[in-house]
Amino acid sequence: MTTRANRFGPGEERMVDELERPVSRRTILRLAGAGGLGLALPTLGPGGVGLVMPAGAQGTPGVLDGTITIDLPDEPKTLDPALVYDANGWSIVHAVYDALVQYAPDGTLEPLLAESLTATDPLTYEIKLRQGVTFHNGEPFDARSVAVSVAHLADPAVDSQVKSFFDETTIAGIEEIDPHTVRLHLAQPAPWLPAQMAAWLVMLPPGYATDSGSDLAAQPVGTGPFRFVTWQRGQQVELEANEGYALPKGRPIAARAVYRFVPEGSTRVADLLAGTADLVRAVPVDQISAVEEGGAQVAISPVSGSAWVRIATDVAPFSDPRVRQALNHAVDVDAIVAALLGGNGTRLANFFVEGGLGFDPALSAYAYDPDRATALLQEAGYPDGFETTLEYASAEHAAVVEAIAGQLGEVGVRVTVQAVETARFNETWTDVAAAPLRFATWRPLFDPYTLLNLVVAAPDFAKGQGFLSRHTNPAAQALIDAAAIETDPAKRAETYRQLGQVLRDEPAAIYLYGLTARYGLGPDLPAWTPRPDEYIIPTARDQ
Amino acid sequence: MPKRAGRLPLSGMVGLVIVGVLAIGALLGPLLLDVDPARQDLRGRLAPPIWAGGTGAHPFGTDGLGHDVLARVIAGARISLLIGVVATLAAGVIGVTLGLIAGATGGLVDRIATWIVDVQMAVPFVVVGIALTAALGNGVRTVLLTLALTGWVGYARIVRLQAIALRRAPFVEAARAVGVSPARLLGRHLLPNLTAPITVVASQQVAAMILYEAALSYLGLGMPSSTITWGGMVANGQELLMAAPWVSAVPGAAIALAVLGFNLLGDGVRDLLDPEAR
Repeated sequence: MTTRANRFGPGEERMVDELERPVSRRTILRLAGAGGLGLALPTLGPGGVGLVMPAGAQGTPGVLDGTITIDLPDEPKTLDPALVYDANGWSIVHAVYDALVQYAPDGTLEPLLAESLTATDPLTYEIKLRQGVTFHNGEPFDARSVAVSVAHLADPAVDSQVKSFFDETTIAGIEEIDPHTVRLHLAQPAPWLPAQMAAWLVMLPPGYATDSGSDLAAQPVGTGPFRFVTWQRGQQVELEANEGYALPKGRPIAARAVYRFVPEGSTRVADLLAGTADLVRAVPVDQISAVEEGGAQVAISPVSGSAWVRIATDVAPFSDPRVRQALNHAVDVDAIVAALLGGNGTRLANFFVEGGLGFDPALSAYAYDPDRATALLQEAGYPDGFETTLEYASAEHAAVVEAIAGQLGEVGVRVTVQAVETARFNETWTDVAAAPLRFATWRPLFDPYTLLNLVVAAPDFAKGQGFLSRHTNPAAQALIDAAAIETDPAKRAETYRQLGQVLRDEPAAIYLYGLTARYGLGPDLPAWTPRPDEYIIPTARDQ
Repeated sequence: MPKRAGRLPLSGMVGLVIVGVLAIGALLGPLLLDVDPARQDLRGRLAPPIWAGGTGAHPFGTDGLGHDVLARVIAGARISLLIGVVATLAAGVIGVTLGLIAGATGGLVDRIATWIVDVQMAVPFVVVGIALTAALGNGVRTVLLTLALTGWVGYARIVRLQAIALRRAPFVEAARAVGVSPARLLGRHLLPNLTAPITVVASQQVAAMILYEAALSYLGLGMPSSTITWGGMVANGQELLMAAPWVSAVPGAAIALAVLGFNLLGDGVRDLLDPEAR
């Protein structure tokens, strides 16, 4: 272990190194994916994800015992599914709730609580519901649940960031044909809607959700593989297995699941090695060898998501596209990936990732070229650079953020880095006086509609649109609008590819890399299936 | 007055040498070592120090972003020593003034001053640091203010006791009898007689101030993250403790060395000025 430099060399060398070692304790989850057809959406990347089999895993299906403890880096503020916006919160939400559809490990959209979802014409989705499913509180799952769940997301009083995807501007009416068939009548074609359903439209029990005495924020009740037990704020959420669960999410792998909130990466690793946690998110790259030497494993799993630095494009000097191009040329993403991400991740040309709509492998990313960056800044009228601020919320990304700040400093953009509490971070996106640069990660990106709507579309705060970057680009807007109502999947993908070119040439962000997850797996963890949307749900799919 | 010992004891000399080396390093380091402490080299990150198989290019190794640890320790020395000395002086001015007035005046003034001291001692300095960082933001000013506002108590208590003892001394009574103004009495008659205890407290306070500054920086209070401090370096290396222990250990050793140096020097000064305390 004395030749550390080799270990953190360029990414490709590292991958080769991994492949050449015949017996590796690390599980690299890049299985050749045979994309099922599902709802005719693209498959995830070169691989997709599969079942993880830790060394000590005993695959004894049907026998549920023990507790599985999961360390997450951050605690959600609420468990109301309309108001959860990150993978930590979604892990718990999607363990308790089920949506009508979900993304399968290979990145295809598959039915979950729906039996089928069919576009009978451009303005109608007919959904057949699964029969015989009951909520954790005993209510039966039926057509009423769909109406109540849509109404909750669209409720102005709830004030979800994705309200406009489900309110009357999208869904004009919900028709109950029979208790297990509903028709969604659309206000205009919405080919992006099924992808949004997978993330947001989880099914609420109609009686419980409409009872004013219920507390959706703190007492979730769903149909999912786990049932909610308690939430000790600041510490943990405890769930118990929903025995007999048989939907495609997979069977529960433990009788109880405890999600704990542990912000420090080294503490999560210590928990894993001490055996007090069985599964931890975001193992720091520098501690992978310590994890492996301690008898646990690290699973590196592809995620449909991207990392980028948000640029507030409505404030000087960032309103000048040349400045944004300069920033893209100034960041050495390959060096960051190789040094700080263990070689996992590739430089992106825009927001889109492999396996998602709009990704174009032929489109080249910005080259690391500090001289070009300096020239562009000079052209834009900033020969001496300028001062600015870069914020981030998750300690997991601190090193990457510091590295970006250092590289921008090399071309004269003097960056002050600020760590901000997650809640404050999410409340200040529209604040013109807040830091113009912000490190962001976004998942899932099978269908980029949400991202485009919130990040790239022309700002309209009342509609909850375009507020993350406050970006205005008529060419991009025209393509976003065209794709939103294009019902031919091939044409829609092509429109997004064109949009990808526009977003590359006139960047809306500093584009960084595609995400991968680094899970720490304890020796007692049963066989478990990681997900391409990075929700950690302790279930296993039979293969 | 007892006869004064003429020279610094050996331990004090050792302290003086350590402090001298640190001060020279802080002042002249950038001239001797032509390495920019803020320069990143991602591909050369976590290079081991010379004692763990590293090369002379980075004698103390590099950190998680490829910064040269030696250059950063030197840069951190400037901040630590500057703050240690300036905060000690600032706290000294507050503490001596308050202690002198309280001790010499007595009565209600003394009781109020004693009460302020008690209140101040009950408030942990981290709480003051959090409050001031929230109010003023990160910066040298915040750190100095935090340390001055929490460090003056030691001076105030000692100076007050000494002033009480001197209040009835014949030369004070005499000065008062001939109508010397209270301000002049404090400044010209009492203060010069208190230089020895004040110097002793101050020389030991520098070490405490350096330690407190490191603690604040470690907690992310006080200095902005772009400022290189020993405490901040220790904090940055924490996640790397297993893989690259030197990232935290080197600045940690620097803190220990500086504190040891100032403590030895402080003890020496005390022995020099107050031989009875030996």
